[in-house]
Parts: sequence; C-alpha cells; structure tokens
Amino acid sequence: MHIQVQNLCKTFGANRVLDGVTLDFAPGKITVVLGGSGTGKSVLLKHLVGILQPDSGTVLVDGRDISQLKERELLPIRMRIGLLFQGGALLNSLNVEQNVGLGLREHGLYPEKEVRRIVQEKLTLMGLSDKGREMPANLSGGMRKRVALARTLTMNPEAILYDEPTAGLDPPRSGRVDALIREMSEKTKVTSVLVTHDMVSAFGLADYIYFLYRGKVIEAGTPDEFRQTKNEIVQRFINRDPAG
Amino acid sequence: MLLFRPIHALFYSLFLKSGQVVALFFQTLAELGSLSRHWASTFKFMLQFGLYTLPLATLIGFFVGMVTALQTGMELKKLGLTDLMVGPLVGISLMREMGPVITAVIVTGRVGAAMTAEIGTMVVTEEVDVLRSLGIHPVGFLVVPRFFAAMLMVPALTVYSILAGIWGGAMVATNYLNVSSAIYYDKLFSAIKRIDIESGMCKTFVFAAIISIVCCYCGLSTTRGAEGVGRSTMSAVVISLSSILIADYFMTRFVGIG
Ligand SMILES: Nc1ncnc2c1ncn2[C@@H]1O[C@H](COP(=O)(O)OP(=O)(O)O)[C@@H](O)[C@H]1O
Ligand SMILES: [Mg+2]
Repeated sequence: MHIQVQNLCKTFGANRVLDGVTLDFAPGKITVVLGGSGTGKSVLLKHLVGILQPDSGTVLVDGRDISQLKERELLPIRMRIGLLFQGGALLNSLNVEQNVGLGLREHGLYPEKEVRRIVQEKLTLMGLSDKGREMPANLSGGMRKRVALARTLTMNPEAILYDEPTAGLDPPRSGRVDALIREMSEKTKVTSVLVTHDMVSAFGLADYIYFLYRGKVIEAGTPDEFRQTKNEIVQRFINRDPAG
Repeated sequence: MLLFRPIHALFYSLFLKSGQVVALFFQTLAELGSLSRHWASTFKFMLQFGLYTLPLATLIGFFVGMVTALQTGMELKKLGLTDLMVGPLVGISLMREMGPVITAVIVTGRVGAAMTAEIGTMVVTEEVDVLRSLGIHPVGFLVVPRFFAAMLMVPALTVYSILAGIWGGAMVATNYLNVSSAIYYDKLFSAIKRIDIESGMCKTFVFAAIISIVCCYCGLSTTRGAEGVGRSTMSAVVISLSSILIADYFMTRFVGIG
C-alpha cells in the first residue's frame, strides 16, 4: 500500500500543528517520522486513516484522496491500515481477548471458532497467551502496546502505522519490538510508518526518514544521509544536545 | 453583558447543535442493522434503563401520584366532587403528562448523564478513535445499542411509574380523602380513553429518542482536557431536559386534545 501526504495543514484553534507537510510512504518499506514531543506526529498519523480531516492538503491511499471521504466510505480503507496508538489504546470495558478479537468480530469476517483461533495465535506471538482474560487496567504499558499490536495483526493490514512503539519500554524490550517491526515488514511486505523519537529504532529500521519540526518537514533522507546532515536542528536532536 | 451571556450561549449552542443532533438521529437509524452484533451490550443498557431505574421510578411515581391526589382532592372537596373526579384526574394527568415527563427526567439524570460521561471518557482516552481505526462505525457500536435499549425500556418504565402513581393516588384517596378504593379505581379506569394512552405512549417514545440521542451526541462531542467530560455531561442534562419539555408542550398541543 502506497500512502502519500501532500501539503497537509492542520490547525487546532490557534495552534498550527501541521503547516504544509509533504511525505511519501513507499510500499513495503519502513519510513520513519522523527520529531520532538508535540510536533504533531500523532496528529499526522490520524490523518492517514481519516480520523482527523485536514484543513487543506491531501492524503492519498493507493492514489485515492481520502481526506474528504465520509465516515462510511472510510471504514473499508481503515480495515486495511493498522494504527497503533501511542498509549496502546484498548477498550477498557473489554478484556484482552475481546480487545484483540474486536475487529474480526465486528466485521463478521470469520466464524467464532476461527476468530478464537486467530486471537490466540496473535496473543501467543506477542507472548501474551495466558493474558486473554485480563482487563486492560491490570496490564503494564508495554503489555497494552503488545495487545494493541496483536489486535492490529488480526486484521492482516497492508500498512501499519506505529506511534512511538518503543516509548516507555526498557532497551531489551525495545529491541524486541524493533525486531518484530522488521520481521513484519520483511515477511508480509507491509508498508510501515514508524513515528518515534527513539534514535536507535529510527536508524536501525528506517529505509527513509523524515524530520518534523514546528509543523514542517525540515529534513528527509536515508539513515546514512541523516548521519551526515548539515542541518543544525537535526544534528542537535540526533546528538541529544540540550540546546536542541 | 456578563449576565446575558449564559442565556445567549445556551440558545446559540442549542441552535448550532440541534442540526447535528438530528443528523446523529438519522445516522443511528441508518446503522440500526449493526444491532445484530451487539445484543450483549444492548441487554446491558436495557438493564440500566429498566431494572436499575425501577426503584427510583417506583418511589418518584408513587409520590407524584400522592401529590396529585392530595392537591386536586382538596380543591375537589370544596366542590363536593372528590368521589367522582379524583380518580380520573390522577389517572389522566399521570397517563398523559406526569408519567412520561417524570420518567424521562429520571432517566436523563440516572442513565443519560452516565451514558454521556461513559462515551465522553472513551473519546478522551482515544477509545473512540480506536474503533474508527479498526473500521468500526462509532455510531453503530456506541449509539445504536443505547438508542434501542432506551426505545424499549423507557416506555416500559413509564407504564410502570404510571401504575405506581395510580397506586400512590389510591393511598391518599382512601386514607385522606375518604374515597373508597373501589370507587377510585372504577372512576379512574372508566374515564381513561384510548387517546389518553396513545398520547402518553407517543410522548414516551419521543422522549426516549431525545434522551438517548442527545446524551450520546454530547458524549461523542466531548473535547479533550480535564473539564471536557464534566462539561458535556452538564450540557447533556440541560439539552435533554429542555428538549423534553419543549417537545412535551408541542405534543400536548398538537397530538390530540381528545
Ligand atoms: N484533538 C486535538 N484537539 C486539539 N489539539 C490537539 C488535538 N490533537 C493534538 N492536538 C495538539 O496538537 C499538538 C501535537 O500533538 P501530537 O500530534 O500528539 O504531538 P506528538 O508529536 O508528540 O505526537 C499538541 O500541541 C496537541 O495539544
Ligand atoms: Mg504522539
């Protein structure tokens, strides 16, 4: 799946969050969007599935502009794109098993027995096979994220958008998440969009990187190009310079 | 200026939002098909609207019936019409006005406000966005079960609180107004016409729709931030109650003064 963003602008009240950004998420590749906290990375991802609508600009999914579609028309497109929310948002009134099976059950894609099998398979893949009956409130942040990922995988998406998947995880766990993202990308040829400010993940995984700053893309390139960047803001970010 | 602002703001938001509320109503009708996947949650909301509200509806219905009997009974005594009139007055006023309106008010406060808070919290914690990202229509998932449960249970609850009110009226009539209960019930049931029942029931369905749609609408339009859920809960109660009373007037006016 090919996702393109052209001249996207989004303002909340007086807060201009995205100020004409143009990005291209190549099919089957891992594209990383870097940027400090509050630069609109999550807002950008929500535009890619039509949860937010832009003030101006377009979002093209396989060449089709989705930015003006109605809720009903967006549903089939959203089924093909997995969005992993930053907080690993789960429905708090449902247990883990119900959360993971939510999409499959709502869309009635498979008989109940098959749904159970798929859910269990994805939970096992995430190392959560014994957590099916837990309520989300009793899970740690990292587990919630893994449950959310299991839920996304049940839908066999053609693109997965990860919103800071390693934030708040310890380094070994972050490494495991990175390995998983790479494995998903290699095995299923899924288009991956990774929003993060974790430089290790970014440089380790990216085929291509965009740097977001004050609502604009101020640098774009391969990881090698980024390491040799002349842009001071980007350099400071990469080197964790407090002045950045 | 400051004094006028709340009123002005209320009317402004009333006009602005009423169009969106109507739109949500039609969306809900369009998504009714999704009900077949949500029987479990529909049943949960039916319990909330019905069973859990029953004690409150009994209590309040009972006292409304008592007050009506007491108030009218004392006037009728002066005219010597107590025997003839207290039953019909209690019965008809409960059936046409008090029963539907009082039940709607109870349900708004007891169930509607909680519904708004629940949906509003789901908006703030991004749970609604999660639904949408999975290709699930939030109206089908959140509004339809609540709407359907309200349409079934609010009328049932209304019938129940009317009966409680008639019973409360009987208590006052027999113990305080010296009307035998046989005469009270006899006059009451022979005075009630079909139009009274129809007009009361017609109202209660409209109120059920107003409560469920308005409260879901306010929940779904919750904004981020700490005060978001509190504010939408308040507007849910305000908008729901005012719409109920306004709708009540026009229905009394136009749906058969029989
Ligand atoms: N639904 C919303 N309503 C109003 N403001 C929002 C909304 N979503 C995000 N914002 C604002 O947009 C800015 C960027 O937010 P976000 O995309 O979450 O940043 P991040 O890059 O850390 O993910 C923040 O200032 C935030 O307050
Ligand atoms: Mg974010």
